[in-house]
Amino acid sequence: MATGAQHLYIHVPFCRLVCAYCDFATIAGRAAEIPRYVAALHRELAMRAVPGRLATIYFGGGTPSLVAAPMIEALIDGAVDHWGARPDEVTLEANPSEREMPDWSGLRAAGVNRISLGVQSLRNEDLVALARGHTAEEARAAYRAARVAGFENVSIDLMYGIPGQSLDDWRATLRAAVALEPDHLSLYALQLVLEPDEWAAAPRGGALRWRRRLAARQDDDLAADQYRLAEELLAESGYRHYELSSWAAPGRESRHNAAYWRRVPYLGLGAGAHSFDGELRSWNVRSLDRYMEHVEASERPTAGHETLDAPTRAFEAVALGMRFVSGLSRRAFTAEFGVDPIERFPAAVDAGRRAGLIELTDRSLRLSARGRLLASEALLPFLTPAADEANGLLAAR
Amino acid sequence: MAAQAVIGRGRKAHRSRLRPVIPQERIRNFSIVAHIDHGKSTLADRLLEATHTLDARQMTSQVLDSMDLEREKGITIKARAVRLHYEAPGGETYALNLIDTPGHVDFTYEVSRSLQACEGAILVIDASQGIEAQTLANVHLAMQQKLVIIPVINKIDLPSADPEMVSRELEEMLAIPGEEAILASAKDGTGIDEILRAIVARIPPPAGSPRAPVQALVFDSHYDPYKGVVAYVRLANGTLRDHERIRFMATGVESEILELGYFRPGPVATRSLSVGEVGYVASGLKSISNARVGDTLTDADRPATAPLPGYKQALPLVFAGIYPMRGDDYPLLRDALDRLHLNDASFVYEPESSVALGFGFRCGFLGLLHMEIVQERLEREFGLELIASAPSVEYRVRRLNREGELVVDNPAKMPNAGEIDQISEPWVAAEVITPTEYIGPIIELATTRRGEFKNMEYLDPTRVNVHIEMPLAELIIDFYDQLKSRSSGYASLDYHYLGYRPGDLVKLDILVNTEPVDALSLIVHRSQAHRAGKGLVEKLRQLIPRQLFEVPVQAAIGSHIISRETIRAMRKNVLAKCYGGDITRKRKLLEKQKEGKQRMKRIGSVEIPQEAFLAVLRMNRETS
Repeated sequence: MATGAQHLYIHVPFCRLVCAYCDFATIAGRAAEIPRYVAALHRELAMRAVPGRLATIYFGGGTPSLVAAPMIEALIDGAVDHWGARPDEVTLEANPSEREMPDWSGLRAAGVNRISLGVQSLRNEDLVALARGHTAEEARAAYRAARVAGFENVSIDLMYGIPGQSLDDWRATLRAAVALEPDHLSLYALQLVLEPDEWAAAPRGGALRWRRRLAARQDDDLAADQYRLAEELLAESGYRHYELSSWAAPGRESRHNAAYWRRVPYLGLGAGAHSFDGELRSWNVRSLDRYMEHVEASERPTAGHETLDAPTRAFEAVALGMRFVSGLSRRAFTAEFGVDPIERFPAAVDAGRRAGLIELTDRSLRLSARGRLLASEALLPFLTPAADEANGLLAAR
Repeated sequence: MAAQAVIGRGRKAHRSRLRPVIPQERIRNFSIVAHIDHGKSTLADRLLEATHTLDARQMTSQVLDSMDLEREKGITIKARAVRLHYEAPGGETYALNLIDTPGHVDFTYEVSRSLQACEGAILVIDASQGIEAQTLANVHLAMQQKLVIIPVINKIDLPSADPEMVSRELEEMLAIPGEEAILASAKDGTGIDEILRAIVARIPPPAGSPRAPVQALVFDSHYDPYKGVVAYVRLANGTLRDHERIRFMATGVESEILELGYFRPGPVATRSLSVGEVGYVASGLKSISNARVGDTLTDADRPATAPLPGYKQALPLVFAGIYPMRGDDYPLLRDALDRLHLNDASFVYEPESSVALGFGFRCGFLGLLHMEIVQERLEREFGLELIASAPSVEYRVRRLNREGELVVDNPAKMPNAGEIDQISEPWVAAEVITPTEYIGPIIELATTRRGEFKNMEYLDPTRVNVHIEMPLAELIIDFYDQLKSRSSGYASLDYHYLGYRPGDLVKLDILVNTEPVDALSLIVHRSQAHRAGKGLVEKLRQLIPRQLFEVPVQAAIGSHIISRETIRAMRKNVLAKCYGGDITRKRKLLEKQKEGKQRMKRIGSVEIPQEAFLAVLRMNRETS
């Protein structure tokens, strides 16, 4: 696929405080180096950008709201210059803390038109448990300030599965969030990775102990109830559950994130950012220092890459397609792979349907209400070794 | 003269034309009897050094214990024999044959055969620890065989040494006059000369006639890939010569001598071995089961009229299933067992299969340590990863309306409760020597293990010998560890087999999702069934991950469920966000999870991680 990236992700690793549960490439106490980092982002863009039409930009982190509005503006302008057109959706993640309140008007003027606010909870006990460094009232204030500055599209992140957060507590947080009338909600189960892999920096001793302590108090059954409650309550409030973790007011689905699930190409800039061109996925070094050194030496900051073979692409089509509540389009899959997914994965589809995890309609293959909570279990049977494919075992089954 | 003796190095034996001719009256055959850690191997090393059998440069500490495992466990598994040439103060050279003995209760029979090859034994006692149960058992064996005992009180250099206490124990427990004891420190060499002089002075030379028909006691053997079965022998009568035809009297197998000689400590080939001598005979035979410990080797052309007394085939007492972790390793395990068996005929094995564990072998061992050694050697020497089921004993089952007894060494094979008239199990007599303050906890331990306290005798005011009778099945499940922990490590244990006794025993089955898990079946006393069942079921509930459906875990005696837990169905697993940076990671995590699932054991439709099985099997072994 040589059409080039149509979606641009820019990673900002800086944080005032690093959350103990976070696995992203983040770093605290280095905010003074933001200008140097932003300069590196410009250089990487110049090195890597490819032709195409730019549809979205997403500033993720870390805490992108720590970057001053003029620098955000320069980055957006740089992209616009490069691709020659203004993208439709420019999202910036912000931390709703009084101590790091961004210049909302400046960001709006810079061209940001969508804010994703890391509220996490509207119950102070939860925020303390997560050591978020802000209160529920600060979150509300940040939300209101963004609205006042003219942001028409604001998304809120919330977490469930927090130890100490009862079903009623969660209901209260959801109601309080709905009362703010956000355009979009992303709900995440608090996930405490205890055994880091190559994608997550090993948490420092203190953070690991903290995670273990918290993980021991997590209750999967309660988290399942909380998820179900959110599905109910948000549906009543007019939000459409369009992706496993995402709810949107009509027309407010995240276009940038949907690009990931549709497997269209994207370009990721910055430390630890991932890029995808349709067949090749690559990722940058996670270390802030290494990243800046590479780029400043005019070297690509790539840490690794993988070329997706046909079986892997087919699996990812299913795994990402079924993240949409509407499911994987059988027609789209057939168009790409030349075979209907139920013929490509007959055993897995059958197992999923028998276990009540997967539903099949004329047009789609989708997770059932139970399956949405057990997506990994539903997906495992679709992971067939490439060798099976080569031997035609699947065809024979 | 000693310098003329050639020391063998490596595999090839050196043939010495100038070996000293030592007449029968200047031969002394002896063993060393000692408790683990009381200094037997160090003493042996000093004797080798003092007689120039090895010089200090060639000494690696504890030469006699050649297997790695022996060194690590600090015990001798295989008996060996070394000839020392000792120049007595009078100038004559003596041949002193040191026959090493295994130091563990599992190998009592092998010890008795080694002692039978001797006229004397050095009894080594730690000056600070005193006499231990097992030492006592072995000294009794030696005394039964009328061996001259030379007591050595070792480690007198230790600050905590109390040689007077040990001499009193010698007098009171063994009726050995305290003044006969030699005070020594094998570590610093104290007393070594005196021990050598005592060996010559106190131990009689071997009896027997060089011209009588050959009777050679086989006290050990090993398999050598080049020379076949090598038997370690003591000539009780007659003379063996190179290339003669020989016969093993118990098995009736015949072959030709390929090589014979003795150890110094490497093999030194000779043309003959005569009455009273100790050495080896390479037979070229392919299976070690042809040269069993205790058998008598004779001249096939002029055989002895009768074998030496005391031969019996060592019987396995402890049984367990041994399975490869990876099913693909089954052929490897089979080869490994075949090869190990060449060198250790005392364990038995036959193929079996288990629903839970796949294909493996049911193995019989002399005891729990023997089982551990075999398992460890299989893993270490053959690179296998193994799962062992809980050890079991051999039950004898009388069935209703059926003739004869059924022998069951695998709980899964026990007939249904409705068919059983009576189950009998092996009992042992155990002797525990302990400081008096631990008598209470030890008797309590034995009682909870269905043991019956018989009596006890005071060895001295502070130590007693407690006599207990108990089912072997109770003894093999961590009894020894418990004994050690309840006595701060002081109690020592020896046991011998008594016979079969009927018991109120039941087969306890564990069912996962109503399917019995054969590898977890246990035979327990009815009074313990409930506790054991509840413990296992609870542990399984904790260890088996939640499945997509509800899974009952039950313990049952026959069709009667005695304990039940339920593993609730899984409702939620990882529900993380998934953006651009998460896709590869998420896929890799799923791939890992899938691999993990493939390694899981399947009981019906329930997937159980290997680790859960191991944990439960370990628990079966420890607390059932």
